[in-house]
Amino acid sequence: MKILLVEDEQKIADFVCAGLRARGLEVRHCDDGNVGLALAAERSFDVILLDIMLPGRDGLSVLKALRAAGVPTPVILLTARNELNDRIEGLNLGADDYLAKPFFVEELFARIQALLRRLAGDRSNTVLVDDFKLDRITRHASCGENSVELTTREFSLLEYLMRSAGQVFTRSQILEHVWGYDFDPSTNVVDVCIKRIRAKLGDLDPAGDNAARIEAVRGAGYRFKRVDRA
Amino acid sequence: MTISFRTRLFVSATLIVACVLLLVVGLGWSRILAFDVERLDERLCMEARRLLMPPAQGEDLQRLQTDMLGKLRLAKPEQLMLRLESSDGHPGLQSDNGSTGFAIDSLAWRSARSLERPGATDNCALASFEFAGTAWRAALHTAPQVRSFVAADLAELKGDLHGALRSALTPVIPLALALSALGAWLLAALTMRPVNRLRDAMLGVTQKALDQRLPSSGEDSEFKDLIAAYNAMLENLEQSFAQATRFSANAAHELKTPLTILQGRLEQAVNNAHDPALQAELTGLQDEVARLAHITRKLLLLSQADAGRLALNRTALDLSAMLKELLADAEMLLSDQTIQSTIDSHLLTQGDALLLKQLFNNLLSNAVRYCRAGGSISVTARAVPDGIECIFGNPCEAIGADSRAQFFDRFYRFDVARSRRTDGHGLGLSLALEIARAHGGELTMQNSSPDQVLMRLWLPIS
Repeated sequence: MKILLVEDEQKIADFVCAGLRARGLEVRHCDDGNVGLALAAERSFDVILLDIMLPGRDGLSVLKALRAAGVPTPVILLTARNELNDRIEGLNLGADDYLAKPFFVEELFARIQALLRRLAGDRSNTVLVDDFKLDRITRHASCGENSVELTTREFSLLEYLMRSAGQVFTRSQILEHVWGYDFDPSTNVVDVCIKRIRAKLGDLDPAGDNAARIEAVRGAGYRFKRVDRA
Repeated sequence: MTISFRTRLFVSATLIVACVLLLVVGLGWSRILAFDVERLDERLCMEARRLLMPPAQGEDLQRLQTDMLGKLRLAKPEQLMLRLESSDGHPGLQSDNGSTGFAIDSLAWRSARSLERPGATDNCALASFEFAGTAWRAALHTAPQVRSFVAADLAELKGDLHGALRSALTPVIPLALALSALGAWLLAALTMRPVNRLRDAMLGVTQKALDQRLPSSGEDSEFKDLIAAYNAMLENLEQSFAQATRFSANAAHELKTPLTILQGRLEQAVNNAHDPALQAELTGLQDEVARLAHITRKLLLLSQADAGRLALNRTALDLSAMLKELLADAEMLLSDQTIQSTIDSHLLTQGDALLLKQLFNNLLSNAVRYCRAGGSISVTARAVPDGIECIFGNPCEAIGADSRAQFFDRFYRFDVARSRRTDGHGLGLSLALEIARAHGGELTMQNSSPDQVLMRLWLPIS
């Protein structure tokens, strides 16, 4: 999986590269719009991450040139400037997604995955972790014979945890992914929602220990535990 | 008590006209009196001369007196004095009251100028004196052997004049006063007209935007100056406002890069930390950065709204679905409160989904945040003839009118609420207001009892 990151702020590029590489992606970084355009035109990348404020040639102009040249590589815009205007303009110009600064690398990774799944024509509407199944169409979580319906937020949260089962997500990361960045971060909505999901999972199999599949990692956040079958 | 400028103009103009009128009447009166006295002087001289003429000697005093009364326009014989005496002081002819013992010579005689022969002095002299409580006018004609003295009571003359003036002025003065009052009222109205026009234009500018200017063409020069001054003031205001807006937009933007780095590094550090205590510390920091980022976003949106550049990405929206989704979020934030909602289905409109979500979210989270313990939050959304109306209500600690007026102020947080655990930063309502306005809608606080907050949001259908 090859990613091109066009970002002029070295410190941002550093942690994005490190974060994506740690998640198994191959990242190439450049800090100039013209260089970025030349690299992207090679068509050797799976996803392009494009900052908007760039020296040489700004991100929107790079995007426009790419699409004009018929390069179909999916683009995620990293916006810092005038958020909303850029979003509208960027999506009109053919960006596939956008992420407003500041963002979590975890969120960026999730977006890249979702984008690639979508483009790969991934029709599988289920997320499976061990014996746990999540149905994207009916928003049902099931374990064995039993299933329970989840609300939009509950589903979105559980899906986020299950997609990277075993990994710890902080409250802020969860909030940004599930509620978007306009939700007041000082509420305890994440904890309440986790509690509700646990209650529903617990109902799935009263005899089992399903509720404990969502584990609170003290001080850090939450993760969906994989069952160690070994 | 304040008196309107128009009334003041009216009163002063009327007073000035009344004073002028009085002055004119007074001056006219004294001029007419002086003129009449001059005419009387002439006649007195003539009569005094006639008294000396030979045919007059031996003539019947009674007839002479009656004739003179007629010529001098006197009513009664007592108003006339006659005396003819030889130069050695021997009295000849004299009227009944002519003998009264004052010395003719003691009067301040002034020689008369004959009107027929201007400049030449006649041998007629004139004097004024007081007698029997009234003012008199006398003429003394001196011939070589005799001199004649004729005096008339001025009371009659003045009385006539008074009567004539009164009959002439009685209808004129009130009429003149009434006319001048009317004129003053109209004048005041005329004076106020450009002021009123200016006021209306200024109101128009206030309601629109700071980049509006008043047109000065067609105004009088004084008002042109006023308009120029007002426009200059607007110019200054607009400049400093633009500066302030640019500043907060730049500040919010400049904050983003360090915030992004901070958040990214923290995320990295959390992932790499294996000590639970350190991890807890770092995620706590992450929460604070998220709050900072949240405030920065709101400030950027507000500064864009202030600059009139809140760009809307309008799409067709189902507000009913959006509200229901957000109500589900709000329910998760409740402690011991409840939410009662009545949401009409299929409330469709055009709008920016992200911004409208933010708007509803701010209203809902405020309602939850400030709801009294155990209270019930009410949310209704329905179609009204010209749009969509949503009302958010919550019982709260009693709030005075002063605090209510400040609800939409930035960074304002209600004091009673502050004493409770609250996490808001006082930007939510002002941003909600701007988003509503950008959509052509309005957000207002409804009148209600002090322990109730009612927010009414109205959005046009398209």
